[in-house]
Amino acid sequence: MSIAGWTLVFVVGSFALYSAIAVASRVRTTSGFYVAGRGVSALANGMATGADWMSAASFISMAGLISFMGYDGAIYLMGWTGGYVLLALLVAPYLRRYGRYTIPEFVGDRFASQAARLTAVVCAVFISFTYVAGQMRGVGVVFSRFLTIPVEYGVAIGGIIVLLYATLGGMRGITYTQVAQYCVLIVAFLIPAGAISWMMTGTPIPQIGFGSPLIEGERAGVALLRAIDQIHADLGLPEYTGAFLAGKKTLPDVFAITMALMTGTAGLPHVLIRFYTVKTARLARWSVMWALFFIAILYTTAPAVAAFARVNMIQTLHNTPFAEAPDWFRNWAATGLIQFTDRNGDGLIQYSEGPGAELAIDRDIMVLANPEIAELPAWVVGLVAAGGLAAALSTAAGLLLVISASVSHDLLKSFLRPGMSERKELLAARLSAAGACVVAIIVGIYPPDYVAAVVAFAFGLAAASFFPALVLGVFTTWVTARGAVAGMIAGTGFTAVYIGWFKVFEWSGPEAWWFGISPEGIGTLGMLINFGVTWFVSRRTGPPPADSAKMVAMLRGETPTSG
Amino acid sequence: MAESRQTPRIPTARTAWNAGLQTGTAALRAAHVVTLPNLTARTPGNADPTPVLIQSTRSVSQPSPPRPGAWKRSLRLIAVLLAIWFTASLGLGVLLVEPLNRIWMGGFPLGFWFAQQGAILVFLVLLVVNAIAMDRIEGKADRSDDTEDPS
Repeated sequence: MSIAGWTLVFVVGSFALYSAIAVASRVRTTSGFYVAGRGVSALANGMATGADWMSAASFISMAGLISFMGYDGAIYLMGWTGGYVLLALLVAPYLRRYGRYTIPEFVGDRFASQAARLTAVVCAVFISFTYVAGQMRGVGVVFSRFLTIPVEYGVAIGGIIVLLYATLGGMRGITYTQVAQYCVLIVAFLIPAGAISWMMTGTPIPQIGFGSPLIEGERAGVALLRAIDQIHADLGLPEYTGAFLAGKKTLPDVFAITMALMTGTAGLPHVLIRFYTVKTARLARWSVMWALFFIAILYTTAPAVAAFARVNMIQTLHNTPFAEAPDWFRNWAATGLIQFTDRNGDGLIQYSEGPGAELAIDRDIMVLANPEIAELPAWVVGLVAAGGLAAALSTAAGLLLVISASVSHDLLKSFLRPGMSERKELLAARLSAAGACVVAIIVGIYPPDYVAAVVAFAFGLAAASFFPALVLGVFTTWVTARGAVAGMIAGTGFTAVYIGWFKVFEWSGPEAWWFGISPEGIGTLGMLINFGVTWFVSRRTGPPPADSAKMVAMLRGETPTSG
Repeated sequence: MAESRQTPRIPTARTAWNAGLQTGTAALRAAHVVTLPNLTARTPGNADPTPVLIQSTRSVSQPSPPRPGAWKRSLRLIAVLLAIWFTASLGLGVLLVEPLNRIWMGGFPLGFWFAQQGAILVFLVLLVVNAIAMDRIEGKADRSDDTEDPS
């Protein structure tokens, strides 16, 4: 069977599975819709969090990006896993002990302030929409590449599937489809990774192959990473494993970006709400551990895949006549994702980087082309397509739920229609999930230019808004409502202006960056500003009401949880 | 005098285990009491003279909290685990990556390995230690949560 045939089998098969789970786990209560009735086990919640967390970017783009970044790729690897340590130690168990349904609700209750809740709603909705646009686009790209369906139809089909299980099953439906999606995406990632490792180093475990000698080619017997460094030296490129070299990120920038991604991870609403779905604070702690376990499987494999792809690509392509290039190269060249311009007219492919390079390679194809590079059968390619879709859809669903709960629970139920019955609230939740999904489909079909630019924004914003509010809310008693609101507004305002200035409008170049910190890392500074402003304003407006100390004692488990 | 010897200990993996696993011994109880001011000093709240972290919650908590001292012990555990978290990732993987990269071990430059593999493995170990140690610290306190109304 052809690649398209196998892709169709896996995609239709996995979609049928998700739909069946959606119908089986439909809900009739708001508790079921928002927090899956709090009956999810730590293991299942960890797996669901893994799928929720790992988006189209983690599955499709990350290994390719690392392959071109070398050491600098560590910002994603450490940033997107280190945040789970902060979650487990500082946030998740305490959020669960609080109970209820949403993150804005926690912020509002903890600081006894509707203004704080409203600020949090705006941040949550903005972060989630930013993020969901990229996911829907990822769905469309996978469809168009593997099934030659136009991007628009791909986005619409994926969107309708999400619509089905998000509106029917709410958090419960999303949780169990995410468990299935995790299984699909991890298998789809590991099979080609293992095969490539086997092919190049003779061990099927990529994490071990990463440090092993190559078994074939002109550099057989040389350790993989040494071989890459030698190849880079021959081509005049900065060392792959080297840090802070010319042409790479600087130390302050790597530090700030890693920190911003870590604290952003611990403040992203679609991840945080997952810890409401277990029964106790203790199980929340264990589910963060399982989540990181399931995420680490992919995140320790990805840098190995990046290194294999690096050697493979340069060794098979550099100084090879275009006419003799491998099949996968010509297949991808046909899609336009690899572009070869024979600048010196010698008929050979010369690998180099920067202006004047003969090869232009889209970073995303490193993972998607892997099965073909490793000469795996067509069904593996189909599986990878299904894995990419699973990663994108599972993340999109989690984000849509945040938007839906923000509208139905935080805006309607709390501000506009406080007397709403549970039945009506559930209907409102379903309708807002459907509405958010339709908006996401439209944004996916007509992506605004700035989608790529604002992904950094989602993390910066989460780091500069929720992370300080949540941590101070649990670990201190002196924060006042005005302090919390002022901190969130100052932190996000600063981050937004900085990213807008340098990345969206590009009013100044990198030479004007503060302390050498790029827009991707500025959330770290925004977070510090939030902490500082919260402290300063709280000092002027304190002390907070006596009730808040009672709530803090409850969060810390010093008094029994009350209803 | 046992206290003064225990106080300036540098956080290590071993102290993490101690803090979490060897709960209940008299010596450790004493150490917890003594190290507490250092912990509160690290929270931003300390700059404000009026509310001191622990006392203020103590004064409002109900007469018999589920486990006296559990919060102090969890704060200590959190501080130790965060120190390791920072050292393994931003410390060895970023701040010290250049000198460490001069050492090659098992096919990896050491700094690069921490940045792309080691830090993640350390994070995972930290979360396992945290979950086990917090179970011990909270003991029955949190088991009572298990029977809590799930809504």
